Amino acid sequence: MAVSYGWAGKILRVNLSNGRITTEDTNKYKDYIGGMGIGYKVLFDEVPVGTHPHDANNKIVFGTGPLTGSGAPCSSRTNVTSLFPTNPKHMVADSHMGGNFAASMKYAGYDAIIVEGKARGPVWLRIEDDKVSIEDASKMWGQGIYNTTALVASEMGKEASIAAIGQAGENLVNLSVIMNGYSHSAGGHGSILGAKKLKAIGIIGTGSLKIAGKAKDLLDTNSYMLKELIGANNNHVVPSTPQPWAEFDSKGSRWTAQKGLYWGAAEPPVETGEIPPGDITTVGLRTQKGVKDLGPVAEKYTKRMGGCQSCPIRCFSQLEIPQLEKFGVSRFVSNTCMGYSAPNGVMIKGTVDQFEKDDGTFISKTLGSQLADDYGVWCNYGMLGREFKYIYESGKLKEVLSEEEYNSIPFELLEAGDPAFLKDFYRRITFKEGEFSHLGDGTYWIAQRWDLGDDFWHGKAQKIWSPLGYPVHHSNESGAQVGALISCMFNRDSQSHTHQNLIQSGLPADILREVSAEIWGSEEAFDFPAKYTPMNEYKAKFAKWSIIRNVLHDSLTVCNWMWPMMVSPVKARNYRGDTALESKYMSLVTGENYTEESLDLAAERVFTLHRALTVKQMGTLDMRNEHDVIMDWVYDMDPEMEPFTEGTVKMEREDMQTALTMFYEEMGWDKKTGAPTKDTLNRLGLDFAARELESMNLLP
Amino acid sequence: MGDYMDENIDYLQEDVADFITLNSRDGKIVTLEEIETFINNEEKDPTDVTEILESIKSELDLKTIDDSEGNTFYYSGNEMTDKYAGIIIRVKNKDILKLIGDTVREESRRYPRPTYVTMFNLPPYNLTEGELEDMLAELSIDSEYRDLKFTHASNGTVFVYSNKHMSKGYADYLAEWIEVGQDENP
Repeated sequence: MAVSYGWAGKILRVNLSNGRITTEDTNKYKDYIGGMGIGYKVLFDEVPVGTHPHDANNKIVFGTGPLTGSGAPCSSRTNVTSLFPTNPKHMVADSHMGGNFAASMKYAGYDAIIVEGKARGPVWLRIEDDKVSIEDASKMWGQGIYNTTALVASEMGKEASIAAIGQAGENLVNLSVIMNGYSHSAGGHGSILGAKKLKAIGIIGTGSLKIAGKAKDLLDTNSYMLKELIGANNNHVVPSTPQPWAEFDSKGSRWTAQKGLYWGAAEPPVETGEIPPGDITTVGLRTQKGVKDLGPVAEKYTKRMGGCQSCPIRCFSQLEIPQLEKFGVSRFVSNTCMGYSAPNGVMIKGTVDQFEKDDGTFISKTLGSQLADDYGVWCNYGMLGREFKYIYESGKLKEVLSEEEYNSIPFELLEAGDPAFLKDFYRRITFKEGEFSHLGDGTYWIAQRWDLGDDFWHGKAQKIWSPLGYPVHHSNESGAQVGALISCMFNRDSQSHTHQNLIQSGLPADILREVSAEIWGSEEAFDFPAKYTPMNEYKAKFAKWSIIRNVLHDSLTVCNWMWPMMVSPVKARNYRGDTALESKYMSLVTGENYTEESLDLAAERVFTLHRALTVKQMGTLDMRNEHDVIMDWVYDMDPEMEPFTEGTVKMEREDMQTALTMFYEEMGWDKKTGAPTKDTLNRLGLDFAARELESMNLLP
Repeated sequence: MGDYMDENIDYLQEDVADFITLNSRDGKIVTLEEIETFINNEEKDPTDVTEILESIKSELDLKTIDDSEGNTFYYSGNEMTDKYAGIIIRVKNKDILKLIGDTVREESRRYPRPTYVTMFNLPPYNLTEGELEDMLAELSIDSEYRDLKFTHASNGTVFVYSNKHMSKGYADYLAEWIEVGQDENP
């Protein structure tokens, strides 16, 4: 790469089969921006159709982008791309992690790390700028993520950024994670590293990122974003309680800062206070995520909020809970959102108070978080608990387990609401103990193995979205057809937060409808929550834009849990955000002229490449009927209510087919099948994909 | 001597501006008497308070609001919304029942959402649990508020909504979503 403003300029390629370590120019991937874009291009070009995720031929790409490590807010996301073990056809998917790892990659000089092949024995990858070596990991193998991270740190020093897998990844449990910084996990790809015998990657980057623009301009842009645009976690832009400065409030807002709310275990305790917009130094106090995720009892155990490099939001609560040591785990916990709630979902009979009043759920969430994180077990966005509930309560578990195995599981703890049950639960899955452990295979695979029928797949309680075995993730309950379309388009649960952040911003619906009209052309793009209307073209635009921005963010890389800045907490701005901010940063950082349109086009290229790769891997054009399929409960829920009536998020079958058609049209895909057309592939510069699909008879 | 007096007045303007600003930020509106008391307590030279207020009006976006007895209160529009000041006044006026009714109707219409009743325990409403209980009981029998109905989420949180603006089914759904659904879908 001739000029490397923004991009580090090199990609590191490590072949674990032959030990070859090389670098290559990032320039050939520049049309795909970075991160996710690099990942899809590598997988499309280099991984043969039919490869098993755990084969040596599979590759895994750790990707960053031109904004990663640039100092732009919320810009240390690592995008991980590889074949996805839980997917029935092992299609490509992404997982993501925050922390410091991505920025460290950039400072070491790499935009991406491609790992290929398979080592003969356990290894870890040591990266210190341009000094890269494959090291023996015999002493780490068999260790949890916490010890592994400590062992790598003992070799490299505490400044190293370390990503590792736990025993679940080693044991090729499909539901396993890669984790950096003790708590930032990329779900679903842990076993890829396990299969490659790659236990960890440690990075020290002592370099810097070249910025084309003036430092002052970058700081001014940061100041503008922090003063005028950014809210709290998920860019919620109103506080959770009525406050003097705020015209609006919303109980569900993650802007939990208020008088009398503390980081109670800090020394001395820190009061969040009320944090109106305007002061960039207090943004990090807005989200008291401990209380938000864990309830009021968490306040006095909260040491502080943590988070990722270059992120002012701090959405990870960090707590010290001495009582956890009674369960044999560390007293120090750090996590957020599903990392806490998923383990609690396993406690299907509830949890009784453990050490004080109302601490049952608090303990099960924090204990479960410790166990899952150290073993490196993933939850498939909450599915693990719901699957366990189904097989336990339906009697299926008794049917598929031997009597001896069934009786060995301490269900009496579960029934008694004792979170110690989680220790047994996660251990069995991690170490593949018995038939029970197949819960770790993932939704599709357990359904096959245990012959789970329609009531499993189509039951509302399971919340399975797709026959590909992934659940709802801001789907029909989030923007009607908009969320539903978004949830159909990937090969795992959709991780798009674009639409969700707008809908849950906390602003009243009339403002959100105005904003929708300004971005997508009509207020009809936005439905009131659970007060849905039939499909229209503006919802198709909304869905496309949401995905495109999500893909853009995972390529830049910035956090889609915060970006884009569609709305603002500032009344003087009439609560309007700035959807051109990504392009402002890109122009500033790279010195090239980027616009919203040019970035959106690049992201459309990346997303269409994902679609082309999906067509290629599935070996069919018929995305409409074989990929973009929704389970029946979404259409059949609330039998006493009709779709498009107040109070239900029920969808209508024919309308959803219309929605797919409109979305395909927006994307320039074939209206009948949903596969990308030759014209569209060529328009986006994906001629190589068009040629390959044509040779496979996979062009509409 | 003249310069000294001018400087003193500048300081006084600054102090009064800070006094109003900090009170507004703290969720309080202040009377002219309170401002004068502040000046006296600060042992400042007597001066024309209204003149000082006029001089800081623009800087503070200084606003006034009257209660039902004709008392005027001051607040800074930079720190406090008119809506918030309006609620404070209605609480002072003991206009609680209508305040609750109007708030619930507005939230049902505009967001739309049912209103969790314990919001009225929080500032600026500041109702005690007993007062809130009494108000809600009154609300349920007063014919002026027959459109206000109650629902609750599965975690027990009670909500009130206006059936002029949302159906029972809709209120039920939203209450459950606010309390349970959102947390299950982070």
